[in-house]
Amino acid sequence: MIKIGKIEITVFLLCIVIGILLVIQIRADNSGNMYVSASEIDDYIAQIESERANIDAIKEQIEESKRQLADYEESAKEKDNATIQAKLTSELESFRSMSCADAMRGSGVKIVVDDGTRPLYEGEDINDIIVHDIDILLIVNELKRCKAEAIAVNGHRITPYTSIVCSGYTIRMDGMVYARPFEITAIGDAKRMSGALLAPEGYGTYLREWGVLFTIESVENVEIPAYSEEESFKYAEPAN
Amino acid sequence: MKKWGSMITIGLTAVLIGLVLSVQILTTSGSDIGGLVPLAKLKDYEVALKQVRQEKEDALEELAGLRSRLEAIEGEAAAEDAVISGLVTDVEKYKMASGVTDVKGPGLYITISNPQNVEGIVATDVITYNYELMLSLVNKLKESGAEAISINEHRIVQTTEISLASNHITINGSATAAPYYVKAIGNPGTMYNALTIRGGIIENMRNSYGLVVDLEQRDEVIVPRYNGVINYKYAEVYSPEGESGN
Repeated sequence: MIKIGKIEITVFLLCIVIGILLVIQIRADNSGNMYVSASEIDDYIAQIESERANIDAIKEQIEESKRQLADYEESAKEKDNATIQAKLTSELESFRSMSCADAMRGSGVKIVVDDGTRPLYEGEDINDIIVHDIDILLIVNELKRCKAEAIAVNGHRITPYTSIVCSGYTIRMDGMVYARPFEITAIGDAKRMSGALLAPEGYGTYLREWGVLFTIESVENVEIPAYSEEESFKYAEPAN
Repeated sequence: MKKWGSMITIGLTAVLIGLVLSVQILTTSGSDIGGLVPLAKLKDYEVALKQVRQEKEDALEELAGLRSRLEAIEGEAAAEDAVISGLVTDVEKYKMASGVTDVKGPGLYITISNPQNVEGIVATDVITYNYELMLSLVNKLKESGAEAISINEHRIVQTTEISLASNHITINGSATAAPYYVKAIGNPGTMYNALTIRGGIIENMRNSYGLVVDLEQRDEVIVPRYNGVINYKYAEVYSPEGESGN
């Protein structure tokens, strides 16, 4: 009864196309989490890039070790231990520095952080203008990000194991107690460190906006003491 | 009549095609941050990341091989030479204290993931934008006596920063992303109880930020060594007056 004309054929074909598209769509939706947020892709890209950078750094160390090995073999022929001794001595020096076993000096910055002195607004919490452990922690972290080579808070060396905790009116580091004002000294690129902390979104600026006192100055010669105690390991042992 | 009938059919078909197309475009136009992208696209990156990690593993293995050869030579020399023997012992000691040795021991294994909505999609990268939580967590671990800590295999050493760079957390200068695996060697019970006190860091992470945090006490966790090199450009060693140079 229905005359099959051009239009009917077109509609029929279009229906098939729609059908196929629908099937694809439905299958795509049914196989679990088919969609992820785009920031995850961004995460992957950043991680891939940083792993590549790591590989480059490792390759450099491989080259260095190969050179070292050649030197060793050279000196082994002559039964001469001087090369080995020189290498071990320089290694020892850098590991002593890394584990904070030696006092260090150099150019850097001196930061003073203290509780605010401005009068409180009506109903304002005193905590707004008081220095907290997280403030010191974030400043120290920012200094590390700016490649500070040695850091001390109130003359106490920050080691790989130092925690900074509020205990009442004081802060405690490695079991020792320190009170305000907090003086943070760091050896490193003074311009970079003060630039980062005093930037409009920097942590120093942030503290000042709250009313906490924050000053930073470049110092020609910062002296940072060694951490006198040796880290003793009760639980950790070398894994090989 | 017949003329109208076919017109309506074509009209409806056109609307349908339009709908299908728009759905299709919506799901694929995920290149902006915050949009959605098909999982298939992610798979490629997953593979690439795996490959690059494998490559890193291989490089590390080569480096470890070279280092053990160097150490063997040093050991031989140490057997005959007391000075070198003393040096080797000292280097080992300070290496361990610096975090440049792989270590193992009992400890905690903490997993931190972003909150997921009902469809299992991570809506916002809560933990990354609140990186001070990670900083605080590490601080609390140190406080409760952790002897070695790593986050996503990045060892925490003297110079380690945990900071936000664009939209990633950077640790030891390398970008890393959620989920975060934190490993700490120390007394598992002490660390566990210190972290999970009421109103403590873990409760805060879970309740205030909706993060999925899982803590596990293990008999053995392995914390990798720090793999970078610290070049002291500004600082030099000195002996304060009145004390021996040691």
